[in-house]
Amino acid sequence: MIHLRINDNPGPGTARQRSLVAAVRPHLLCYGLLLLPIAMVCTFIVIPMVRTVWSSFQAMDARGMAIHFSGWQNYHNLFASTLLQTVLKNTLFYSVLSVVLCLIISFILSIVLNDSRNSSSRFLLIGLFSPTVIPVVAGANIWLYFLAPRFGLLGRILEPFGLGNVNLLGEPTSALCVLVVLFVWKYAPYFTLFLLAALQAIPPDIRDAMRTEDPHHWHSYFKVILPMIAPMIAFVTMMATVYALETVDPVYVMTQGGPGNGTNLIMYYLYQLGFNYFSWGPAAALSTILMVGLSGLSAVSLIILERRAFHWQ
Amino acid sequence: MKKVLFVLLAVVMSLTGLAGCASKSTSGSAPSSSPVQLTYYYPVGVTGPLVPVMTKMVNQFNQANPTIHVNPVFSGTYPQTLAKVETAIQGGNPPDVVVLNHTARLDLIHLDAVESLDDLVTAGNYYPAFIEPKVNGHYWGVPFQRSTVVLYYNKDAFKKAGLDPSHGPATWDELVADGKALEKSGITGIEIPSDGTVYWQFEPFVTDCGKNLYNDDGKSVNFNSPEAKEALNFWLDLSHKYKIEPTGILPWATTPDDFAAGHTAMIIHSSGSLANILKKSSFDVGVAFLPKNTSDYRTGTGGGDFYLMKGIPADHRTAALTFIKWMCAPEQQAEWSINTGYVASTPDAYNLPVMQAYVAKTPQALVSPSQLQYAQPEMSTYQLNQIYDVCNSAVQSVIAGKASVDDALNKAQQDATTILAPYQQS
Amino acid sequence: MAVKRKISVALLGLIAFIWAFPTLWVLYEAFFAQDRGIGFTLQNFSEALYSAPFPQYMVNTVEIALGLLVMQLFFGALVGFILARYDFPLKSLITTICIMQIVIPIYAVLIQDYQLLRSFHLLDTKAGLMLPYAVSGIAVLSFRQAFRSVPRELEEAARMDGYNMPGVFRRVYLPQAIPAVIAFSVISVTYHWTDFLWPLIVTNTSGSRPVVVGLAMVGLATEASMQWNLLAAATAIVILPLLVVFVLATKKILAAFSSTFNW
Repeated sequence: MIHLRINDNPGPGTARQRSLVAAVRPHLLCYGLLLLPIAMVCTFIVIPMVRTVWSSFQAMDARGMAIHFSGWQNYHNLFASTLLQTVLKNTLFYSVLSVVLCLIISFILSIVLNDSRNSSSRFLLIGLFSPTVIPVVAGANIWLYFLAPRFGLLGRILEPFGLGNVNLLGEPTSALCVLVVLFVWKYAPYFTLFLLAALQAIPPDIRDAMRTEDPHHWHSYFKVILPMIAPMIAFVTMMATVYALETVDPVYVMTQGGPGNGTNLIMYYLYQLGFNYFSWGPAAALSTILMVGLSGLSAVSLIILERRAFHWQ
Repeated sequence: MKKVLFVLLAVVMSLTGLAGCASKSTSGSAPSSSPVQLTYYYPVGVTGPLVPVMTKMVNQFNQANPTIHVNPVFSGTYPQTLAKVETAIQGGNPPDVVVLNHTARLDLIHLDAVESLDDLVTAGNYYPAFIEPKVNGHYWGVPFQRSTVVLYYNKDAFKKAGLDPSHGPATWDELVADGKALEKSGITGIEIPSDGTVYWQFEPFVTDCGKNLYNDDGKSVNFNSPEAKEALNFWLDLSHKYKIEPTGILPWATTPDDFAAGHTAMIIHSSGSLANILKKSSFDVGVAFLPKNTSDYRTGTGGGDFYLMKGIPADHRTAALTFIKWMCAPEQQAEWSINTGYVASTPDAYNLPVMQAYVAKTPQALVSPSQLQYAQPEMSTYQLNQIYDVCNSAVQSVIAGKASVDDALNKAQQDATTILAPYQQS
Repeated sequence: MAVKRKISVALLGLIAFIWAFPTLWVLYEAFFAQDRGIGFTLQNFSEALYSAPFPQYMVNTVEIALGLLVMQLFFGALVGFILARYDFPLKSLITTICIMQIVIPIYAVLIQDYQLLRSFHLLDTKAGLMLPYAVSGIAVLSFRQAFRSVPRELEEAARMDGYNMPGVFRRVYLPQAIPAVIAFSVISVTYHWTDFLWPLIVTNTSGSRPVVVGLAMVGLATEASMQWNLLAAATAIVILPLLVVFVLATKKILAAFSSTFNW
């Protein structure tokens, strides 16, 4: 507790006021210093969050100004749209596939990298993690070029087989799968780091015990290790889900939601609602729903992390 | 005390830094005293390296007009540019001048975002097809980069298949017959792009059956009319029944290169891609009208007009008017047309010597202007981007084999009616 | 045994190659592909630089990323220190607000923040772009963690040596926070260098547009014009700085990523 020299002469005012002031005065400096940063967070995060929820219950004009209270009308309009049904279907397919594939690949990679001989190879690390450090947009451009019919590398490879003009981005399902590949390509290594940290946090005596009792590791992996890193797996699952739901960059660059709205994902749909169609009411409703969902996922994952996933310090 | 001062100092510094960033980004690169700085958004909707050509022309203007400095900002495709402009307008910082799809006028007028440009339009001698119809009794956009839907055909491939290379198929039946002959001679018959803004290629087929996709007031559409279904069924038959077109969605961006590389004998594309196609093709390229069905020859017009944004300062306004006038003058129209394939928006451009020389070498360039008498206005409604998306996804779902013609178009009609419902009352 | 080792090395090489392949291929195309034929060329780069004001975009991105980092470190250290060191009423409220900053995604408040910037006339400015991120909950909590781990005796020893608070802060607490500073810097710069949707909405002109948005625009223009060499070169311009830094400081950067949430 910081000790400021407090003036012992009681000033003017009632005893109650003086005691309130006396209670607050030692902390004035703290409050003063915290004022600006907390005000900024409130202005740009907390208050907009409240306003988003509030405006989801208001009818909005084309400029985004609230006109009058409209109850659940925006939500009703939002869910009445058949386009939303398509978007939800796409997002579900994409998220589930992305998260599952990511988990499997990350788990395998983390086991591979756990062997210190492997993780000391710089080439391996650089190659594996290069997609993680480049912007998603750059990655999307790379794959766009890759998949360009006839001119991209894939087209050129398939040309002798007569499949040169295969357009993976031209068919709704295959385009969505391309997005899944892009997600896994970029994020699987990133999540590997977390799983690796969990693996390395396993106490060495357990690892030694495993090695002597089960030289091939399979049995011990499933019975012993999985439960130990289960919290981290849960954490990674939730993070991957949040990232998958937030996917929008590649949609904007590669497919613009098409073909036939086959790659229209929920975050891109939100962008369209607000900034392309100017339906600010349904956009606010969707923002509210997404906020509750994504914040909930993030919060739960942080709690898991705080309680059990990290054994450091 | 010292700590408080230190903190205050840091706060002031960071705020100053923020303010500095804010002012630096708005002041631009030129000294603040002299030229009027204009922001100019433009899209590119056809294939070809148009950005450097546009940059060159803008630099030419800037040099010829030292009191004005135009800053061109490439902002994506037509729908993306419209979205950006509308966002900027709603953000209270509109650009000064934009090139937008000429069909965007209803949305722009609805947003009260643009000024009417009657004087500029009537003073320049523009093709009627590009400026009619008036909306609310005024002209709003000055035609700049206009195009029509045309059929490109490979004359050499035609000869090889035993077809007359002097003209393309004149009717739908001829199209099928020609396609079959071409397929037999070993080349794909036709490719019609179907990704992105497919409504544009789709529309003339529909109008060709007798009814437009939309109604003139811009408040209602006819997506599921018998004519629309007939047109879409015909399109589907090209690949499924007559087998003269590859199945599946074909990209707008690569179709001209397929044509130039000799993979397909016919494509439907914008006249604005002419320059790019001619550059890349090593054979004789023919340009033809679209084949007709029951009604007269039809084509759609497309492309962008210059719009002047409302609410900009008076000196910006004057400068913008000068810029628009210059860009749409016959000399610049000729240069833009020669370098791209867009139709010059005024017949005066075709009388210029440079244009006459170009047309003598490239007679294909004359097809598009001669189509203008048959041109139908392009679909223009309120909530333009959203209506486009509805139409595009309907056509795409049919071509991708995900929905039947009836289901897709009925659903599109339903969705579009819902979207336009608020405008019915006004 | 040696064979087994060789196999696993080969397998690992394969994995690395698969992941690195698209990037390597694009870099190859940027440096070696020409309109006709293959050969080392820098022409793609000069064309790419000409096609959009990439130098300006790069400057913007650097200003945004570094400016944000400075602000985030400053506020993070300030708030983190106060939360670590002092108790006062409403402390848990303040902490909760910081956690909210982490948990609520920018996408949820995108529209409201956009309208906020609009009313302050900060649209299309770098300052407006940076403001919602200026205080970072992750920074605050990372610093709090670092400062908490400083034993009280060290501070008391410094006090006895005659230092007042700022001096104590500088000598005792700050050094403990250096690892947190490094780790956070990596995460912050990576995130803000690659942030796309928010800058897309907020910026329009080259005075404030960052390089990822410019790259997306080039991607879209390229689809229209089929100038794939150009796209490769533009992409290379954007990713080369990041890759170079990553190659030079691989282990440190990876360690920073994995300790992000270690509070």
